[in-house]
Amino acid sequence: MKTALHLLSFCLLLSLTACIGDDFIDDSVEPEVRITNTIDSLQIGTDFAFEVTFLDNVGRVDNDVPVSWTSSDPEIISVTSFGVATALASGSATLTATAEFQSETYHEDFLVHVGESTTTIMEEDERRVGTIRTTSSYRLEGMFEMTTSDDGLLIEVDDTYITTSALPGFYLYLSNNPNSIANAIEIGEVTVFEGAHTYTVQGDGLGLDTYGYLLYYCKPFNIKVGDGKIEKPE
Amino acid sequence: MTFLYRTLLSIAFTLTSLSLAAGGGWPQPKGKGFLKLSEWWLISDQHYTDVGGLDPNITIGVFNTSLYAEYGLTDRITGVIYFPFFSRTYQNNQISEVTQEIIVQGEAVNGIGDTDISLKFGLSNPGSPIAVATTLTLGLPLGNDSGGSQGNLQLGDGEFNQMILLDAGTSWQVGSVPMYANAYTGYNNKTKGFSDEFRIGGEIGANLLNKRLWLIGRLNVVDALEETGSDTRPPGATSIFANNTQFTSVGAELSYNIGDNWGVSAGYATAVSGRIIFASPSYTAGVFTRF
Repeated sequence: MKTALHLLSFCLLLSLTACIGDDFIDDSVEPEVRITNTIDSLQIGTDFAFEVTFLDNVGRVDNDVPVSWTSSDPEIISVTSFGVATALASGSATLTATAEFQSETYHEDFLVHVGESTTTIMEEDERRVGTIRTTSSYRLEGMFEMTTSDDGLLIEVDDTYITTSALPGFYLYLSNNPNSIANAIEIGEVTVFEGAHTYTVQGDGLGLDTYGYLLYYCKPFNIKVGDGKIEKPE
Repeated sequence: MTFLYRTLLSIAFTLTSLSLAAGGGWPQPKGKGFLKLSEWWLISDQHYTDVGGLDPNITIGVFNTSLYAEYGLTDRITGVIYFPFFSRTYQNNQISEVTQEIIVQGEAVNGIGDTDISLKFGLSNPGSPIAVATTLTLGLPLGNDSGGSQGNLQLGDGEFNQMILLDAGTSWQVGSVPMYANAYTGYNNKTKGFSDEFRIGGEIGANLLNKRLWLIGRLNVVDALEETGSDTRPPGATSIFANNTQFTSVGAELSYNIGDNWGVSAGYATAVSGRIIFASPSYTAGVFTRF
């Protein structure tokens, strides 16, 4: 009887001391300077304020990292330290946004023409595309296209899409880190396992370039199932 | 959200009950019994996927402190109960390697677990060279099937199942070493959208060290008979409580008689292949008595 009581105590102690530990995930990504409202041309004599975001080494927006601006030809397009560009003369100039983070320099540059009017990027480029792929043993494949509408961000997955229905808590996210749901927004549970379907995502300031990845994730297991890099069409 | 988590946990409990399937084809004599207090645990950071691949998951631990008892109501009818009176399931924190910040907070749930009550009927006469028995088991869903913030920490699968097993066993002697073997097959009728299961398995044991030590090896196969569609899938679970679980497991147990009527045991089991099941070994340790 004494042995049984000792074992009972041992069992209960073992159970109660089954402590929650720590699992570490490699969520490192390349820091990035991202301009979210690029234009194709700027009307001579007008200004345009560019919006820039710095994403740190886990894909998190870091507003404390200063971003500086330069123009390859300030006599054609000048730019302030806050990213306000002014078209001064006909021609073209490359604008560069630069950030320093942990002793490394990151930059994003793009060409702007000075023309008759200010135009955004070509109409057919006002969309993003990508390939959905598995990063696990679970089947997941397809293609998607992302556009904006009055209802919000539209993510249209095409009819090549197929995935498993075996996963519990299978969710889709928009994220800037393909390996983590930290700082991601949840689109919703995956309820379509084959064929074309559409998600509509709403959110303040949500644009085509706000996030860099579709992230397929199993919540109960806290594991990534697959992803889709959001890219500009070629 | 349900299924895999439920499956993985369902498996843990399946492995538990399988390892406790004592008695085999031999019912207890009338008025005699067997009582075992044990701890069973499994900690896993990977699982077999729906296509049999091996994928990682956040570390999940399941601990059961249980009582297992058999009592001979007659020479042919034995009552059996498996009662995990304290169960604990937890999952680890998920932490960023880069920032060391917690991405997903770990959590745990405690309570009683799913309980099995059974009646074993001896079909052969006591003392027959081949002992045959059938066992009807009712799986009572007493454990919490949706604990934790995601509903994925479970102490049971939330469904009432009825399982019937047919056991056949025999014993013999190799030199001075007593041995036995038992095989079983069974059908587990599960409810709430879980797939029914076909089960088959067996064990072989040898009595060593002047009949003080039983060395037992086990093989168990569980096959989901039909895959339940997503629309009928029960919500929420990880591994050992999940649906459509299939696996082949092997295990071993050492049972040492310290006194005439009591002893201690230790066991190990692991799935060697499977679908929707934790791919890590489970362990058990206990003390038992015969009366």
